[in-house]
Amino acid sequence: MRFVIIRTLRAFLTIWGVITLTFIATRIAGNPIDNFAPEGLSNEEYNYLMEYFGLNESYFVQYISYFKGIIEGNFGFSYFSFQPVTEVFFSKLPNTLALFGYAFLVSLIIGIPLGIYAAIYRNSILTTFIMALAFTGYAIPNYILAIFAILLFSFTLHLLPTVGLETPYHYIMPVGCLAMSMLAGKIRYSRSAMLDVLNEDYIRTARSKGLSERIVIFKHAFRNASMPIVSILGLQIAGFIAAVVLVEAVFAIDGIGNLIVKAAIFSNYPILQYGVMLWGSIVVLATLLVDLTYALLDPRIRVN
Amino acid sequence: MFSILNNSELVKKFKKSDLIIKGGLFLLFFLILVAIFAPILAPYDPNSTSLLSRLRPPLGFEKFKVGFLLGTDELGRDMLSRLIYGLRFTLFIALVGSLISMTIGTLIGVISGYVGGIIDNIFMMLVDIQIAFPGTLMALLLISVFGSSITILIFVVGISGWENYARVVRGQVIQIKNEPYVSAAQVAGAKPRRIILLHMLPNIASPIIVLYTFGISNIILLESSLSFLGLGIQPPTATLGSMTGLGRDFLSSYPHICVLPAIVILLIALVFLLLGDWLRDSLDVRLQRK
Repeated sequence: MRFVIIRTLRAFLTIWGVITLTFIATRIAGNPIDNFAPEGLSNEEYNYLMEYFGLNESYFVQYISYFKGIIEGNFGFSYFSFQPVTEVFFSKLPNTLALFGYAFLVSLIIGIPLGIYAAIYRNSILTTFIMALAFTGYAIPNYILAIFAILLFSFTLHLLPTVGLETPYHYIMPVGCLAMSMLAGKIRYSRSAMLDVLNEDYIRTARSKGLSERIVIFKHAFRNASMPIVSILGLQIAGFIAAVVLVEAVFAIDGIGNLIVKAAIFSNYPILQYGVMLWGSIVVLATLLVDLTYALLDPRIRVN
Repeated sequence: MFSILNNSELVKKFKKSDLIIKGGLFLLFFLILVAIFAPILAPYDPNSTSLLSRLRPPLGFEKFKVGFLLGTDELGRDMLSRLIYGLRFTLFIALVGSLISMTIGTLIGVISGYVGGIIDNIFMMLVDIQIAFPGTLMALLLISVFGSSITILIFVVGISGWENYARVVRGQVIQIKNEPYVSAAQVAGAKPRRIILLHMLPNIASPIIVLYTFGISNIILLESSLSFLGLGIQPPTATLGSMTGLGRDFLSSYPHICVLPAIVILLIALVFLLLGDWLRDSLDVRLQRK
């Protein structure tokens, strides 16, 4: 219980740290209005904008009211469209979630069986091929993969459309590129998790009892290997934002990634702050969940 | 600490290594030489435009123009010269950037592991925050606040990835803190600074060097993706990422403008990855996750 409380407290402290650092970063360079206000803005209009976004208060008051807002579910307004940032985010969310969901599923369905296969048949030719695939997915940045894919499938073979997400065909390349970068991790981790388990005594016992190889692999080995695999799935989310930003940029997809990049280019801080906070919280909560599940299942961790 | 670089074990292992590793290391050596001697090797000024020879393809394609081995871009700038300078730029940022993150991370890791207690807790908290704050997002935020310049770019890539060094170094320091040779130095009255610099760092240099190599690869990818998004160094300066990003518009009719820099990014990131993999296996380093 002590472990759970300390771990949870730490998670919330981390989220607080992320929010505070973001706040400091966006205020350190001076007044954001100066960055985007059109020339020839009258003093009245300027003051109105300052008041509207609460930028005329002292930094401390701004910080307190920002936190109050977060607790009340008010995360500020976009400097350009004046919409609440949550509204802006949720309008872009479906595209990104669809991309992520499909890519995750594809990499799961392909990656884990390949990883298991590579662990069982360590010296087969197919395993060499699988590990080469994993290395490629890991080594090729997905925006470069996307460029090569566009060149091949759109401009050379004229099979697939290049931008947007209108039809199911539009999804093939972006989902493929995202899945490729997630695939590498899944193959490597499920392989090493299976290899660890296959060396355990209980696997030898199961085999010596005369159980069929299929039952040994799926009932004894895979069940025990699935814990570390699941924990890696949780942690893979963290790296996903970088991939989605780039893939959305290449395929001009109207999603969270493009929203954040545009916000960065035009200094639309409320959007950026919300993006960072949302992402940080997802990562922290995913890690917390993984740690707590581990502690629940493995008493040794609770003691340490 | 650098004794590890002229380690004869390592030379022996290199002689026995795969053809891929050997090829990769030679390629790396070649690329670094090209980057160093860019002003001598580049046939043209990377930014000089020539409207008469715009959009020429590389050697072997129709409309190739003699003198422009890899063709020209939409403003008639020589692709080969731009690639050479772009490579130089990318390598410079990556080497300096990962030196910064190595220094920060190692320093924090050593202090955290050696001193322990509340300082350790505070530093590990910072590591947690950094992990929750993906490098790309932090880079976007900082560039958006401070604008993009070389200094900012180096700073941004320099502070991404320090948490890896901090975690690994801390773990290593805690492991060797109670070794007899450290206790002996303490008993002999050596100051902590001397113990850390002379007794501890040489013994934990291997994982740091491996992390540094992987760090370079990561920073190359981070820098080139920021430039690709238009948030890195602004045109006309040639960087591999921005060449790829701006060349994206010409992909359908003049693919070489986009594909050539993409291939160079791929190669350079790949050779550092190969080098890191090989060093990790040869130096027998385990980079534990927890």
